[in-house]
Amino acid sequence: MKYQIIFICLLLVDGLYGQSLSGDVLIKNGTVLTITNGIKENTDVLIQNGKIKSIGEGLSAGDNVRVIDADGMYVMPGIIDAHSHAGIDVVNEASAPNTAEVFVGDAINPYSVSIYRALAGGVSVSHAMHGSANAIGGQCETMKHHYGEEDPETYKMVGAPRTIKFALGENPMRVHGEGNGIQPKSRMGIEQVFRKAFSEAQEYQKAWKTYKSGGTRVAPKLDLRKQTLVDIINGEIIIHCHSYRADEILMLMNVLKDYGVDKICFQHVNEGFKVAPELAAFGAHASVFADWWAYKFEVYYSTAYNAAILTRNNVITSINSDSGELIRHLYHEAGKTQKYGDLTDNEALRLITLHPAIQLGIDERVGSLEVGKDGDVAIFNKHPLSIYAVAQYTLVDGLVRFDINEDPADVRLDVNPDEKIPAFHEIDAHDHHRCMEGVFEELFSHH
Amino acid sequence: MNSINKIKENMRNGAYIISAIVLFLSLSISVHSQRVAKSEAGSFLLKGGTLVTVSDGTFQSDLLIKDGKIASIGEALPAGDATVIDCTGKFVYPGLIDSGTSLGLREVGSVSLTSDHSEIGDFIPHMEALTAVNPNAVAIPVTRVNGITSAIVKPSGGTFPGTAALINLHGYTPQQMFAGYKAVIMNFPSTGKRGWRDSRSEEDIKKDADKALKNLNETWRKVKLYAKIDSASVAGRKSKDGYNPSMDAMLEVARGNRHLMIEVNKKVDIESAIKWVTDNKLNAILTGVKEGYRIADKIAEAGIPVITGPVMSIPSRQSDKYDIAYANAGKMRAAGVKVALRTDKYENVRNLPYEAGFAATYGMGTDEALRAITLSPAEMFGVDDQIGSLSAGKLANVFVSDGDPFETRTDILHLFIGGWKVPLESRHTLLYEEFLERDPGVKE
Amino acid sequence: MINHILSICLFCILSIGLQSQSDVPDVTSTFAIKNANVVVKPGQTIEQATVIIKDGLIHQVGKNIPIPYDAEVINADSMFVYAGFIAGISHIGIPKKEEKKEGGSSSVKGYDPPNDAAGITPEKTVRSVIKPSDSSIAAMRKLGFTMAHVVPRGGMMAGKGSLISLSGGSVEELLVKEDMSLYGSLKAAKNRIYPSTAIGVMSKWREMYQQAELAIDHESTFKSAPSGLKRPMYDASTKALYAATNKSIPVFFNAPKTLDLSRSLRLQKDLGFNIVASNVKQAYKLKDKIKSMNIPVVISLKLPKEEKKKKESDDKKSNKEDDMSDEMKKLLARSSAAKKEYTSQAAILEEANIPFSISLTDVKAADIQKNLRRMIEAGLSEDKALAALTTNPAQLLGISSIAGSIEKGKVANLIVTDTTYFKEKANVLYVFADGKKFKQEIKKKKKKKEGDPDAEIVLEGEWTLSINADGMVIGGNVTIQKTDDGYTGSMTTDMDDEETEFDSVEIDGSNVTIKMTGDVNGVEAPIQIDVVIDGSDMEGSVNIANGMMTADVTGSKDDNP
Repeated sequence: MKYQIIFICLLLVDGLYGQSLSGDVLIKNGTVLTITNGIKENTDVLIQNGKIKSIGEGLSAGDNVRVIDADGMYVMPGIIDAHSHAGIDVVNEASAPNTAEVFVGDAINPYSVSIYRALAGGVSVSHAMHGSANAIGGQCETMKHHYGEEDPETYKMVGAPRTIKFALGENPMRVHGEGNGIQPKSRMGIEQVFRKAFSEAQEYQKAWKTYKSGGTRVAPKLDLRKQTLVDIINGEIIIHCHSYRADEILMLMNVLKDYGVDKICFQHVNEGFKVAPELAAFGAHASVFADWWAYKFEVYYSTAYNAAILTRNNVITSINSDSGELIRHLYHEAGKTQKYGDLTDNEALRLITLHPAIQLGIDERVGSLEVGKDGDVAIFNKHPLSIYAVAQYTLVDGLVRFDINEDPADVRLDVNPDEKIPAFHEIDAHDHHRCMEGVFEELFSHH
Repeated sequence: MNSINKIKENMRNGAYIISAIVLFLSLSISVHSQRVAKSEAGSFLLKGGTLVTVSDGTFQSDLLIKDGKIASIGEALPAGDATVIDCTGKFVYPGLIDSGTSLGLREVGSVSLTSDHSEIGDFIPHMEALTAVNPNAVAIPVTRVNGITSAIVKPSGGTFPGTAALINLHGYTPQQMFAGYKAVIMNFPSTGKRGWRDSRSEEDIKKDADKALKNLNETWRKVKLYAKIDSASVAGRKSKDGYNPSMDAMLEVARGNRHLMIEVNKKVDIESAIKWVTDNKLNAILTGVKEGYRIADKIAEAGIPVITGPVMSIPSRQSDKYDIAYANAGKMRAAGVKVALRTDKYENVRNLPYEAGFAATYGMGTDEALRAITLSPAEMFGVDDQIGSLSAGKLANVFVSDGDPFETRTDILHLFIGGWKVPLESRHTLLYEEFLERDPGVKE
Repeated sequence: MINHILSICLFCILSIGLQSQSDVPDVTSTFAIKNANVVVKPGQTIEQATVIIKDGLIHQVGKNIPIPYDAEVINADSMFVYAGFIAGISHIGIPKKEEKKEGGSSSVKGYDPPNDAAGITPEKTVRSVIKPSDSSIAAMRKLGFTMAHVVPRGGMMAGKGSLISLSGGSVEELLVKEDMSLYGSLKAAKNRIYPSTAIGVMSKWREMYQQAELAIDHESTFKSAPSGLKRPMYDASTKALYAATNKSIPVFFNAPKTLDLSRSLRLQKDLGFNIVASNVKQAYKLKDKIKSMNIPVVISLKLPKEEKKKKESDDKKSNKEDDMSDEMKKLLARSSAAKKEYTSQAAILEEANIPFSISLTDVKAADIQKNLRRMIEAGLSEDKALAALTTNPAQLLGISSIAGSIEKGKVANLIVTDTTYFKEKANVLYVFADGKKFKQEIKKKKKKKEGDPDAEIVLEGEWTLSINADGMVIGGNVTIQKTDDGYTGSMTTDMDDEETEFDSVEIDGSNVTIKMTGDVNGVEAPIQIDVVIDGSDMEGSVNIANGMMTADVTGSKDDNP
């Protein structure tokens, strides 16, 4: 059908962009933290056409290839943030409890200085997410931080699986129940939003199957929202669900079981540690904060040991920022798991490299330094888990997108002509919790 | 999958033994409440650790805690009836001080009735933060297990939102916790944008700020007049007119006997604030000071101390360098300004050593950064005879760690506040103990 | 109240360039413009030439042409004649008040709001909303616009656009080419109605567009083989999209900022409609894409505020505010460069050989000539500027055979100016639209008494006014109160007791500007009073409907209690 062709075209068109963005670099003599193959001292990493060509000693490259002297430095995979809102203009389409059809990737803002600041903290990939205003939010975008490019399409990571935002608990209840007088107002209501959406999607899929097999002659009314839910049931979209309380986490897993969906990563999941065995048994992943708590009642009974407990119970766990401020020092956030739970160096580093890659379905491309993977690299002057570490270079697809020796003061790409000098902001709401942006302020009285 | 089951089985077997012991030991602890084990009074001899005194250098020595104080520091101290704690290979630090928090005033951020840091009114300096501190706030044990032993708790809101107080993080009543220092808080009229959604034009912002400054000067005129009348009425044994609590709260500030903590951030506003302070001959501390690095020389020249933070914040202008907020404290210190650091939080005050760590990394250096969360604030608040360093005679606010407290992998091993040995337990650790190996596990 | 003033003035004043409503009949529809510099099309000028107009069409153009016996002759020695300007896109004739309907009721919630609440009204036609009496028609004609592509105001799918002739008259006489385009934008619905953000809008566009494609299929299947088929019952909005989905009409997409442009180009790539990038301000950022995709461009005429010429007092003020540190200098340089870049958009497009037309959707009438000049100063050639106003829009709108240049057989849309149009003091003397003559009166700009920007005045109180419109004098009363935020007030006239509240009062020393909105024959018209206060006297002018009518004002304050 025509609309299917359009969607295929969408993917093809996506494929046309981003292929030209790649570079060649030779990183020499660093301590290479491969994540999957141990630590290699005095080792080189050669990146060619944006891919890691080889890792070893005494490598060489052509004359025109940039050489980075990493002597005394630590070379690790580019950090991946599984929960971010940096670089997008719109966070919440908060007008309905289910807005599965919208794409946050339609609102990429390559002029966002937050992306550069994230690069300055070693982050090469982020998962730009829809906010948590709706039980079923919009589809998210896994982005490569190609800061400097002005075409939003270049940020989209070609080939990355589709992902979608779900949200449980206080936020959707506050926005729709309290704020707008429509379901859901309680956790009971939230469960029914999912059941209704999935069941209606099954009906929708049936109707289209009947039409396509010639059973009816008129196509059913096109509904992109329902189509997206169908795609979730068919396993084409990974769910990333904002959640806190143990009971609601269990609720969603039970709902998903009923509809045959198993690709899920719980986000924040502050009480995940209380149901770690269940999460592991389901195969669900968890993306958590290092130590945020007490800002809402549903996180009042949480612990900074969350990541450690989940890891010890064999749940694939990552640490995310959900903040334009925290994204800049995810390496420090990961370090906190050594204090709260004694994770080893490699376990802690996995939380910001391989594990978020797995959760986003991109672990064949990024998340560790292995031959064939993308040339996404972060180079620090000290071990990244030390508080004294400062990022020196951040590479994305072999292009040096952050170089501390060439860090200009004013990195803006687009300047407002009516503003003489950039305004001073007493407080910057982009610091924390953009998850509720776009919804009436009085509903979310956090800081 | 099988290997995981095997690991689980092994863990389970081993865990049975451990959990039995833990269960036995923790019978008195109710893991579902915020209660933690009681602190222990007594004398303690910290033997053979490396003392980072802050005031007198770093060296290996013994430290004796007795009668709530650091009784003595020296080599091979006799133990007497003190409990000996072997600190070989460990480090002893003075308890850390956070110079700006709402710890104990707020419990759950989004539930407004659990927050007591902000009251209605613009000129209400008589609102005492100390009164509203909840000594049983869940966040207090969470904070102190990371080595923070004292904190300024401050109100927020309008121009004069109230009076802040310095507390030690141990005690069952606010009075027990009070650490002997108070300051009146003031928010200086700002010419910056209030936030991302502030859509006022530049002219409107300037108009609002000019109006606010005019009101401030008028208020100050009244404050000075009231102080004059008060002095006169005391001297002449005359009675004053009426009940005026807000003005009463300003008397000591007007007389220069109590600090005014002035929150101000934008460079031009800092300049105006410095002028206002010097013109009115006030005893003030500037807080916030996000753009302090732009006029550090002027601040140093004026001799006004500064409390700044959080260090880990986003630069306030789109055109600022990415690390300018990290580097701010260090730049001011280098110019000769007396600097203390704050987290400005209520629930994650425990991150104070990491705030200092970032300041250290981006130019301040470890020594100065440590001083900014120990002796410098103690000096600023005039309580450096009590806390802020390891010196004989000071209050025993001390912790023992296995390394540099700025590093995340460092563990705090022992904690003392006012000579009490405080258990390193909090809601977070108790939940860890309960759920690391949950029993029953998954129902098969 | 203002109504009355205008009615009287209209009656008395015939020399202002309004559509003549008197009962003196026209005597001929043949005109001869003699001896002028005729700019046939950009780059082609015939000096000392004559243009003959007959029955609304250009009859002849050339040197030494015999003058028809029945022609009204205009001696145009040393004047310039241009083809009437064509607006690539605009809201001319569409009253602003229409917009308010679109907000929707507050009881509309979430899931499935009615289309018009969501800003989805592709079925709205210009015919249904245009008001021939709207002041903007005459105001734009005065500047030389004789034709315009007009689109309705609204949300993400505001409606269908039509080509109109600014010769005035009834709706039938206005409309030249109806429903020739679809007007779209990324504008979201208000009041948290879906779609309330740009991403919601983009998804809704995709869904509605594809629903329309399926609907067309259904309708054609039903036409050819209806037996056993459910009857197609599609709403007006879906049907209105058919012409766009089968590419018989283009979609003019409002795309002021770069990101709006890349997002609308993304939609175009997803869905395949013929797009025209409208009201663009930063086309230079995407010029390669525009060129390779052959996207027609209509640029906005609204530019960032000009850099203020530094006055003595300014220097002192700015030095107090910020040190001229290196950082500050760099930042100021960047914002100047940004201003320059916006202003050079047209020049950059010219250099890249990308043709463009002009949008009037968001520029103020008073800024149009000035901004064209600014663009020319920034590098746009006068020829290309003229092309953007004539031949390019003619081609874009498919009317090259009947308009856009001064050639025999084309419609008689002409502008006669006293010097080249783009010169600073140029005046438009005559405008011909559909062969109808409109003569403009050049008002000698009265030297505004320069008020002292630092003076302190007492504005509040009761003022008695005298409004003098070319001999007609009307009295009025103004009451001004001082509040915490500034001033408020209201005005009445001797005609009736209706009071009009002020919208705003701006003060710059002793210069005072009062703005209010009056009702002129059922249409809203902005009214602006600019006066200089001297003690208890005031003197200045009143401007009604963006220059449609001006009058002098004097007044004095009642100081007596």
